[in-house]
Formats: sequence, C-alpha cells, structure tokens
Amino acid sequence: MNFSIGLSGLRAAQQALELVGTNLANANTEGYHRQEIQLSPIELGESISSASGVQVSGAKRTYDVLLERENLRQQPLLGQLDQELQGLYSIEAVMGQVDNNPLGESIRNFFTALSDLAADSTSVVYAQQVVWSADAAATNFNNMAEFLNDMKLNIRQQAESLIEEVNNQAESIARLSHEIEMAIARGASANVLFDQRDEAINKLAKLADISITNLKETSGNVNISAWGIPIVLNANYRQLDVSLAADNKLGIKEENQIYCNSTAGYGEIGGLMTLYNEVVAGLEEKLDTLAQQVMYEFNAIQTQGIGAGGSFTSLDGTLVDTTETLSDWEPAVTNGLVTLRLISPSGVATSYDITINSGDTIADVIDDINLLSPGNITANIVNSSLHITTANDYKFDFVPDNTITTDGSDGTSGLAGEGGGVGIPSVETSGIYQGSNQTYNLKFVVPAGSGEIGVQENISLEVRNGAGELVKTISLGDGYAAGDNIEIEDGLYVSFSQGTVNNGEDFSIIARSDTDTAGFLISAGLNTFFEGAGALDMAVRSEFFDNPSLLATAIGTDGSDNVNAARMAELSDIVFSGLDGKEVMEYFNAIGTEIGQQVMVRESRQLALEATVLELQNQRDGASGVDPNTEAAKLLIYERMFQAMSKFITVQDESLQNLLDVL
Amino acid sequence: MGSWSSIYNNAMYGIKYNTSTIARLEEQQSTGSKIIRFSDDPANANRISTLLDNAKSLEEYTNNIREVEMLLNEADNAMSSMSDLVSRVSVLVTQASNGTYQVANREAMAEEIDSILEQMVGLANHKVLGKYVFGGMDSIDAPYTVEREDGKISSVSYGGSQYEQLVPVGPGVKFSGLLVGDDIFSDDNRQDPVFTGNTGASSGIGTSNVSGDLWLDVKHTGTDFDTASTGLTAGTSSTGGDTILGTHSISIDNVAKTISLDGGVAISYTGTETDLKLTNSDGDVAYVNTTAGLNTGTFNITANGELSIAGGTAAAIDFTDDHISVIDPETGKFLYVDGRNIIRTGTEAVQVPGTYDLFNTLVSARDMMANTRNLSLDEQINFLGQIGGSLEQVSKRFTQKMTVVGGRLGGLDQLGQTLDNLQFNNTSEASGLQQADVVEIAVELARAEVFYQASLQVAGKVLSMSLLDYI
Repeated sequence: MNFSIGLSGLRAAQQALELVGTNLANANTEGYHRQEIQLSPIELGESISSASGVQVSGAKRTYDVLLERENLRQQPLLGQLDQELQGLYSIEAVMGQVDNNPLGESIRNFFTALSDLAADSTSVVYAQQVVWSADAAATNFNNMAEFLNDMKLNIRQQAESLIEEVNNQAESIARLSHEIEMAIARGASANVLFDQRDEAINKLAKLADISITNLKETSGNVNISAWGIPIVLNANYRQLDVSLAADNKLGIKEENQIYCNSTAGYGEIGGLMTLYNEVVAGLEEKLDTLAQQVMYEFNAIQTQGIGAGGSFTSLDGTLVDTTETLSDWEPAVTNGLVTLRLISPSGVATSYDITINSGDTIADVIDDINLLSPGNITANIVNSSLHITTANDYKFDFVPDNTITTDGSDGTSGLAGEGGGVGIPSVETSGIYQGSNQTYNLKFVVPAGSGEIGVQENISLEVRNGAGELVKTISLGDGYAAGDNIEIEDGLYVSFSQGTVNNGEDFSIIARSDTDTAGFLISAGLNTFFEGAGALDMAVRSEFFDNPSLLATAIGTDGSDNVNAARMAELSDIVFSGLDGKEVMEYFNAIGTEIGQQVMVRESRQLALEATVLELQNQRDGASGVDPNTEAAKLLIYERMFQAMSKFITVQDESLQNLLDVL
Repeated sequence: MGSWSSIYNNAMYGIKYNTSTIARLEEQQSTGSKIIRFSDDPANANRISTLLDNAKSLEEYTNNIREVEMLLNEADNAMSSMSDLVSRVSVLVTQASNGTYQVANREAMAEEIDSILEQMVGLANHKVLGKYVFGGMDSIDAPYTVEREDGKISSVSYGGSQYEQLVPVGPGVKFSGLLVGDDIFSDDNRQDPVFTGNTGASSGIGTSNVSGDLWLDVKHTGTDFDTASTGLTAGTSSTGGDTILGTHSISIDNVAKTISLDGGVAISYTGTETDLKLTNSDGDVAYVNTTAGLNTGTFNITANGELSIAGGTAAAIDFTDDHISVIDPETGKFLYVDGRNIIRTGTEAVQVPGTYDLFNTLVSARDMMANTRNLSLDEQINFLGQIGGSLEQVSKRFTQKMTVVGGRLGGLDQLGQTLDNLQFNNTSEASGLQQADVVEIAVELARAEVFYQASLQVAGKVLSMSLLDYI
C-alpha cells in the first residue's frame, strides 16, 4: 500500500484547481494568456505498473504564435489611423464644414464687394466695403494659419508625451527580458513575465513603428527597433527623442544623437508624424498658396491703376531686404520692365520704361528712377522700404499708357510731312488697350507718293503687330475726318490731325497693358493693397482703412474708368495655374474636399481594421483567453479528482485498518 | 461560447458602432442636413459648395444687372422726356416754316425752344447716385458743357468719354448702364457739307470735320483794279463796300464817259468821282475812284477776300484753290472750301448732314426763329425747313438709340431672369444634395435604436450566462 499515489493525486488536483482559479482571476487581465496544467504519471520502477501516481510537470501558457504576430502587426496600423483621425477631426471641425465656413464666406464676401465696386467704381461706400471684406478675409486666413500652427505645436507636444511612453515600454521590455532569462535559469515558470513582456510589446507596437526580431517563446531575448533605431537589445534599451529634422519635419532621433528620421511610419507616433509632416503641412502650403495667389493677383491689378485720388506725389513700399538681389525677394522678381508715368504740372504725361534685372538690387532700380527726370522724381530707401516722391508739382503712377514714336521699326525717320501745306499730321492714341504689351508699326501707303490725310484718295495705313503680322489696313484718304478715332485692336484707338504724309513713312506705337512685367511693383509693395508673405501674416495695408479711395479702380490715363475694378471683380472667375488650374473658390473648396476625403478614407480603413483586429482578438482570446465555462468544467473535473484521490486514500486507509483488525 | 474578453470585445464593438450610427442620424435630423462636413460625402459636399458658390456668383451678377437696369431706366426716362421735347420743337419748326406766322410768333417760338434747350441739356446731364448717365466711362464730370451769349446757350459740347463703362453682368457678359451721350444725341453718318448761299463757295475736296450747322463768312478784303491798265483806283468805300470777289470785268468808255461792271448798267462819270458805285447785273457792287484818268477798254479786275467761321481766324481766298481750310474757333474743327467759284461776299449757311447733334440743332432752330442773322423771311423759312430736316435726321438716330436702350433693358431683363433661374437651380440642387430626408432618417433612427438595444441585451444576457451558475 502506498499513500504516495493518493498524495500525488491530491497535490496535482489541488494545483490544477489553483490554476483554474488563477485563470478565472485573470480572465479580464490585459495580455493574460490562459495556462493549462501539465500532468504526467510518476514511474516508481518496482511497482506493478509503470505509473505510480501523478506529478505536475508544469503550467503551459496557451499561445498561438501566428495569431499573436498578426495582432501585433495590426496594432501599429490601428494606432496610426486612430491618431490621424483624431487630428483630422479637429481640422475638419475648423476647415471642413460645408455651411459654416468663415474663411470661405469671407473670401466670397470679398468678391461680392468687388463686384459691387465694379458696378459703381466711384462709390466710396463700396470701396470701404471692399477694404473691410478684404480685412475679414485676411483675418480668417490668419486665424486658419494660426490654428494649423497651434495644431503642429500640439502634435509635437503629444508626440513628446508618447515618446516618453515608448521609452518606458522599451525599458520595461528590456527589464522583463532580463527577468525571463533569470527565471528560466532558475527553472521557474516565466509565463507571467512572458505575458507582461508581450503586453509591453503590444503597447509599444501601438505607439511606434517597430520591427521585432528574435522573439521566442522559450527565451528572454528580443531585439526591437523603432524607425530604424534599435531601442531594445535583449536586456538593454535606448531612449528616443522627438525633434524637428532639417526640413522642419517632425522626426524621431536617438537621445543625444543628431540624425533625425522624419519618415512617417505606423503607430500613434507615426500617425502624429503624418499629421504634422503631411496633413497639416500640406494644408498650410495650400492655404499659403491660396493667400499668396489672392494677394499677388489683386496687387498686380492694384499697382498699375489709380483710384479716385488720381496719380501720386509720393508712394511708400512695403518692407524689403535692401541687400538681396531682386530674384531672392518674395515673390521673386524676374527680368522685365516697369513703366513709370510721370505727369508734368501742365498735364503732359511721359512713360518711362525701367529695365529690371533679377540680379539687380533695389539700389540699381533707385539709380534708374533718379535718372528719369532729375529734380522732379526721386527714389530712395526709407525705413527699409522703397520711397518714391516727386517735386515741382509733378505726379506719377504706373498706369499703362501708349507711347508714339516717329522712328518706325523699319529704320526710317518717321513722319516728316511734306511741308508747305498743312504740315506734319499729329497722331494721338486713346482707349484702354487690353492686349499684350507690344509695339505696333504703322506705315503709310500713298501710291501717288504723298497726300493729305482726309483729302486725297488712296491713302492707307498698314498696321502690323509686334510679330510683324498685318493687323489692319486703315483708309485715311478722302472720307476720313481728321480727329476721328479708329480702333487698331484690343481697345487701342488712333487718330490723326490734318497733315500730309509720304508713301512709306511709318511710326510706332508702344502699346502697353502691363507696366510691371518683372513683378517688381508687387514685391516692392508699391501701390499694393495686401501685404504679407502668406496666410499667417496676410493683411490689408493700413492706409486703405483711412482712405478707401486709394483702391485703384481705374486703369485709363484720366482715371475715370472702372476697368480695373471690373478686373478685380473678375478675379473670382479666373482659373489660375498656381491654383492647380482652379478658380479661387474652387481651390478653397478642394481643400475642404481633400480634408473630407482624408477623413472618409481613414474612417473606412479604421472600420475595416477594427473589424479585423476584433476578429483577431476574438480568435486569440479563443485560443489563449479564459473561457469561464471551460474553467468551470475543469473546476468540476479537478474537484472530482480531488474527491477521488481522497476516497482512494480513505479506501487504502480502510484496507490497512481492516488488515490491522485481522491481526 | 468564447472567452469573457471576446464576449466583452464583441459587445463593446456593437455598442460603439450602433452609438455612432445613432449620433450621426440624430445630428442629421436636428440640422436637417445629411452633409454637414466634407467627410460626410466629399464628392457631394464639393458639389454643394461649388453650386452654392455659383449661386452666390450669379447673385452678384443679378445685383449688377439691377444696378445697370436702374441706370438704363434713368437714361430711358430722360430720353423719353427729351423725345417729347424734340417732338415739340419739330412741331414748332414745321409751323414756323410755313410762313404764316408773324415775327412776334416766331420769337415766342424761339423762347420756347430756348427753354426746351435748357431742359434738354439738363436731362443730358442727368445724374443718378452721383453718376452722369450720359457721360460714358467718365461718370464724375458733367458730360455736356454750354457756351452762353447774353445768357443764352450759344453752343453745347460733349466732354464725356467716348467709351461706355462696362459692368460684368454675367459670366463673360458685360453691359453698360452709363451711355455715351455723343453716340446717342449726335448723328454719325458724315456726308459732304452743303453750302446754302450765293457767294459761289462750295465744299472743297477732302473730308471736313466740322459738324452740324455753321455760318461761313465770305468777306471782301480789297480789290485790285489794275490801275496801270484801267486808270481806276479803289473807291473810298471799296474795302468795306465791294461785294465782288474773284475776277470780274470792267468796261470803260472814256469818250462816252461811262463805266460798267461785268457788262452791267453803264454808269456815267466825270473823272472827279472818288467813290463811284458800280453794280453788275447780279447786284454785285464795286466802288471806284475815277480821278486818275481812265483808259477806254474792257479789263479784268480782281477782288480779294477771306473766309471765316464765327469770327475765327480768316483764311485768305485763293481763287484757284479747291481746298481752303477754314477753322471753327469754337470747336477747333475745320471746313474745306472750294474757292474757285467764289464771286461775291456774303454768308454761307453750311450744313454737314449726318453730323447733327440734338442740342446744336436746337440752338440753330432757336436762332433761326429769332432771326439773329437778320435774314429775309424767305431765307428764314428756307433755313427753318432745312433745320427741320436736320432735326428729323438727328431725331431718327435718337429714336433708334432709344430703341437700342429699350432692347438693352429687355436683354438685361431676360439675362436677369436666366440668371435667377440658374441661381434657383443651383441652390435647389445644392439643397437637394444636402437636405436630409426626415422620414428616411426617422426610420433609420428607429432601426438603429433596435440594433442598439439588441446589442445591449445580447451583451447582458451572454455575459450573465455561465456554467458557474450551475455548479
């Protein structure tokens, strides 16, 4: 009789019951893997059977490697999506509302005010409305840019907070790896340590874009790297830091190291990097592009026109870097011409072309201006801005005017007239030319050799454009009443006084519609309306609040027309290549649409991923989780085993007692 | 049955899903919109925004149309009033042309025309909200300015812009509410000037640029009597009194002591006359001095003269020139005159058909009624008839322009209606895309609530059932 069999059974049943209890107690412990008792028979050798009892050989952690690894793979994706969506929801709340969209409404109101002004360009009330609506739009641009700026700060702070957690988890994993090794060395169970380490790895995976190597169920060794930086090497770990890379992108670097990896990856921090480096930065760029385009296009119209106040006696530009070459200005100045119109006290206007080279500095331009009409117009730098002023009752502006030159492009000496009769005819241009800048050549054809305008038959004028193409032939013989305007093209009219012309005589008209082909006036801020480099600092120049009549509604030389106001109003309908071939509002709506699409795509991916993760977790829980019914069943079985072994001992005891009673 | 964790996970997933569904539906129901933010439906949200922007843009155009319509209506009203006034002038001119009226009647008519002229100029300078409706692009300055003599308008000139102020009223469409007065109130079909007079002056070669009616003064400056041949010198009244111009013949009979001009009535002389008046058969006059002793024979003499308009710079008459340029000092414009057939002094009424403007025609009509040039009744009636013709010509153009303005108003009205319809279509399409179907949402909400309750109940039931209960 051997009590040891019974005792081994009782002991095994007791341990099994304890393990069931542990399983049930940890049924809701995160990362806990169900343990199953490992029983094996005891071999005593001399017994009648090979097995003489039972022993607990261990507790096995139920662990499905494939499911665990797949789950681990999905966590970073989900973490990234969760984080990106949180950020995008914030952005959409501010920029992605269909109805309640302050920036969109203010831009639209600005265009409405411009349309009103085009219909009544002399109205000071409408001019004021333009100024205030522009100010509202600029303020909304500022607010939106500040919101994105703040968002980037918040993202960085959040990334810094999360990277702390990454460091903590890395430290935990390294420590647990060491403890696992120690436990294995002692021959003790490391199941709980494995669970704890797996859970730490899971948390790390949700946070960071990690890759794991050498992860085994039987060893404490594990190597983990994040963003290519080894952070756990078995029992050792390294700390990470959040920093800005050279390109101002949010990145991760090893503590106390210089190299910063800004390649966005998975995990919550990867999501923050995507938000910072792509989503918010992309929106900032688009917002800046929109603000810059609106400012540039509006200023381009404003600079060349005049308002109700007429031409200027002085103008101040915006702040510029006086040492930089013009090509380094924002927006960059290109090679081209600026045409300045100087008006004498008697009203005689002369247009001067100033050649602008992108390699020049502003000092070169100032020199050129000072040579135009010394003593009457002066340019200099005042408080880092270009300052132009006139003297002797002269005025100036940048209104496109046409210049007539009697030296024709074919090298002849121009209109000489025949003398004796009515002399040389004078030529005048009128209208508002709206074609491209070019020099027209006008040549008289008089088969008789010479003739008087409006008198002789067969006097005609051949008009050729800048490309030398014949644009028009105008009859100027009998039938033309001197002084009558004749349209050449695109709003350019020409008229002739009485006079005699010779066959072959010619002259040229420098027709201008653009007096700033270099973009100099815009960048120097001369007679501009908006100032600022982008959405963050876009503003209406202060002088317009005091004097809205500075709005350049006219482009004609007498300042009475509404052509510039109409051009300003038409900005809303123009497709700009700088806005990806879109109109202003179209581009703005595209920003909102893009935000919406990013949210929608991520929501869709999140929904699918959540379902996948749920399924994986269910499968994992099925394999490794605690099923109360299974455990209850085991409870019954091991309880019965305990009862049986107790009975077995009792029977053995009774048998021995009976034997003793016989003795 | 799975583990507790999986039961919990499934329950939470179901609850979360159903909760978000209900929240979304409740938001749609409370706002009445199924697309609130772009992510709700990016493609349709973009469409809604674009449609609403288009609608707003169309609304701006519609506002501009109203502005232009308002200006055109003002112009139309002013033109209607002017048309009535012009009709009245036409009646007066027609009445005065038949010669049955007395001088006093015509003077009264002249006063009435003067009053009408003042009203016409006032209407041509009509201003709405600070803008002159007939000044074209230049809406700030009064387009018509007047010159006055003795308080009465002597000439009216247009100083406004020759170009209309165009306002965007539709995509790529521009209309002007501010009209070019010169285009409306002036004819633009220049023809050769017509000379009415007996000086022999006529239109020279080339195209003159004077307009309307003007008076060409043909004056005598001196006669060359070919003293060496004739023995005649100019009489004391010759310079101011001779009416002959150009080459004329003089016949002297020193025996009979008679002298005649152009073969006209022979006048006796004694050789002591210092201012003998000679008259030819046409009534032209030359004053001669016979005291130097005359020679018998027929001789050519030449009377020189000059041409001028309204007291302006005189142009000497070259009797061989068909192209004498005479400047109108008021306008700076010129009239080409053929001087070859000029034979006597006088005043030529010059009309330039196709260049009349309403105002200066009224000035002419008024002055002719008042007979400021002291013309004979026949001349006055003749000129009044011609002015009536001019008035009819310029009125016809004016009426055509009124029709154009009316047509423009009609076109604008149609454009406005089209834009209104487009705007309505845009907003209604946007609403259709955005508005939520309340009934559909209510049904979906009820359905989602059922699912939500089911997920709660299932979670509760499953989690509460266990073998443990039966141990």
